Amino acid sequence: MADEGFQELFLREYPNLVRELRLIVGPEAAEDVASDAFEQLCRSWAKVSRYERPGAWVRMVALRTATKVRRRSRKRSEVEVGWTAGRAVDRQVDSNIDLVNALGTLSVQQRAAVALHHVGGYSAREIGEFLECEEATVRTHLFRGRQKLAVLLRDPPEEVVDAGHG
Amino acid sequence: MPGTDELADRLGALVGGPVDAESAYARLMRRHRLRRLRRAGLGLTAAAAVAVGVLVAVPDERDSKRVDVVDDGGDRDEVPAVAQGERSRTILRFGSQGISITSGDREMSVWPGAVSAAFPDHMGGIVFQEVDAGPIRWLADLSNPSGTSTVAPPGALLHAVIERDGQEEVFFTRRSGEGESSTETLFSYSLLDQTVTEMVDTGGSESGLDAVAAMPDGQLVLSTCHLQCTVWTQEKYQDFATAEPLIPPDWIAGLDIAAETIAYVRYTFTPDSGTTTDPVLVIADLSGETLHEVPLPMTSESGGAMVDLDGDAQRVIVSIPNDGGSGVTSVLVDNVFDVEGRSIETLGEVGAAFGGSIDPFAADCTTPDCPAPTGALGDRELEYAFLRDGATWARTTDGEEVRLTDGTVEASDGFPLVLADGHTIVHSVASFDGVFDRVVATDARDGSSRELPLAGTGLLALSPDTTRIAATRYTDESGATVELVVLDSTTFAEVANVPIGVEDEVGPIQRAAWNGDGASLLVTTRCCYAPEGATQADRLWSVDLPGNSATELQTGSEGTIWIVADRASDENTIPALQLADGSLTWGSLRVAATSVTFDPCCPLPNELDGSMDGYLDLSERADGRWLVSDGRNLFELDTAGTLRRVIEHATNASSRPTR
Repeated sequence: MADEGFQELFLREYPNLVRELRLIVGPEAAEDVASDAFEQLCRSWAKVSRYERPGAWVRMVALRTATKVRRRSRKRSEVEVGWTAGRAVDRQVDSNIDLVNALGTLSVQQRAAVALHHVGGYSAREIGEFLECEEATVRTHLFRGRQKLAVLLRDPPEEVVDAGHG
Repeated sequence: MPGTDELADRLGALVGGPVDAESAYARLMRRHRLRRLRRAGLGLTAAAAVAVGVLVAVPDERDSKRVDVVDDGGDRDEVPAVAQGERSRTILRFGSQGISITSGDREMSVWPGAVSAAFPDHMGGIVFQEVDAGPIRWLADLSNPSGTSTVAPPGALLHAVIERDGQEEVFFTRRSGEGESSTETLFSYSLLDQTVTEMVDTGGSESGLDAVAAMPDGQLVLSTCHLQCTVWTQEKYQDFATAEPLIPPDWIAGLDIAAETIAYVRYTFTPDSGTTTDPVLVIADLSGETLHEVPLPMTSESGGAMVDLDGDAQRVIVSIPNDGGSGVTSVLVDNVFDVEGRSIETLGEVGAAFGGSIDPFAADCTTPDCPAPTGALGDRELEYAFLRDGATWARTTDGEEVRLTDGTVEASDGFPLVLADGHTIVHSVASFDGVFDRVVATDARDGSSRELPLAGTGLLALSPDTTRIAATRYTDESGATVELVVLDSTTFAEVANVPIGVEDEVGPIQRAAWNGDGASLLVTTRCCYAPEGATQADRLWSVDLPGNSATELQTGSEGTIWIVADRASDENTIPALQLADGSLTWGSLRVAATSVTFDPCCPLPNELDGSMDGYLDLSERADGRWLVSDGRNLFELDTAGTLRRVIEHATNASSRPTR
């Protein structure tokens, strides 16, 4: 059973993970995905608690699940609907709607890379661990994701020299 | 322009709503505790079972309060056609043969014994009752039928499983007392806490509960019957002598509520014969006002029904007892709110319910310690190859989509080509700066992948006779030259190399189209470093392979992007999509010695997204149609410009070679 270390990790990491997942799977599913990941962590706590960074483990699990959720839903509009029905429309913030629509065009890897980098503050190397891919691939996702966002937000893309700042 | 910091600020503002971690932690602990019990094969403790057992032990008398009816076999012409279409959603089936779960063509038996009622819980398990008012059981782990736990011993009657207020509740009734003094009581059993709660008395000797559901706010809704049935909110039911019911007394049966919608079945009562006939599915709002009535294609002597409304209230499963009292027949009514699109599908002579969160066919592998499974086609024939979420996929000729790789093969770039053998899929992988890192070949028969010795090569198009592949490379020296190379499709040896121009001037090759004789190609390039404010446009080149030369063609269409097909349809006529001023037009490019002209056919519908032209692709099929990929979906396109989506969420795709 989980111990105080698990509770401490949960309370520290859960809010951040939910915010990152809101960009990846939408606000409706974010808490479910995060909870599922922590439940898996809870089940594996005896082993994972000995890892150097259990938080990375749970983030990796969440991202796998997020990919699965996205794959099942298949329609990016579902993610968008979740947003537009929630925060964006309620607040009538046009720029947010533009951003949500633009995010909806990104692949799940691009969306994850953008979320983890720009919301979570993780470096390309760390994101590569979470997404289980090479650092260069993360930069690819980041570059293409930001390029798409820039085009769709009618702004020129920036050159990505180094994704890492975390 | 949002720079790095500004983008972070905007994204942060978008997702920065409050997160209640304390409550989430409490919920998680409750779930975790439950799952531990499930894994241990525990459910109701012995003490709790005894507690339920001593409540009452009187056989169910519900049938006595119902009116026996005989179906008049009346005209059913108004009933929509019964369609035996593909059922892709998960459906729970139960009856004398036990419980099975179906999804599409797949079926899995999960319980062998005869069952009178079954409901999915919201955690992937099933609550069911054995026939003849047998025990109510909870099958929490579908892979372990011997691990059921007892919710209630024999003599109870299972009505529903409802998730409300964070609890998973099983509702059942029991009778106590004998004869005219008997009473019926509704109980709730919490799957999470394994506790039983007595809810409310629901009937006397000739009355009782038919169905229970819950309003969106969690308030129970009861359908209680004495000859006719009346639907009450729990609050009003406490005061039923004077309160207004939600649905007044009528010849109704079954009840479910979802997405602010109420569904039940209403029969027609004929006083002269004392029979009820012609079941109609009623769709109502939460005030009880009827919105739709759907005649059902069944008959029933007993007049009962079970109704299961899907979560979004678009579909309903209705199970009605068969004439003669043996078994039930179920139908699925789809698109209940859409009169034109509504359909009724027979599910057979079984009880049925939506599977909810049950998904025994899904791969359950999400931890890093468990490698994601992959599939393979074996001897099945490949029709399309496509990329989805970083993995290579194939679709068979019978429509099944199979993930071939686990995503470690970075399939995020390049358009897959299916080689002449019909099962080898090759595609290029590009790094973030657009350089082609490597080429990966995947065998769809067994899902194996290997890297080909083609680093720096971007594959473009398979030749009409399938023996060669057009590709692009750059020379390594400063001021790199863009080259069109031709590879043998079997050995991957380079058989031709035609310089197009200096990269900084012409840009990379975007697409290549083979002419019919395989001796020349049309190539498009686009300079990726267009000055700010300048409109990016494609340049077109005719590549003569025997002459080893490239000639730029005049298009007369400035500011246009061309998505050319992989091969010509006729001599010097190449199907193409023209992207100009944000609109896509389907037509043909006619290639002359030094110029091309575009013959437009028709604008394409809006569902084809041309906003990210880098993801657009066009290739030919054997049947006179074309395959269009827009980076999100794969469409078939006919000569009249009609699109039909065939694969969803496919980043890039192609079909097997056609000639």
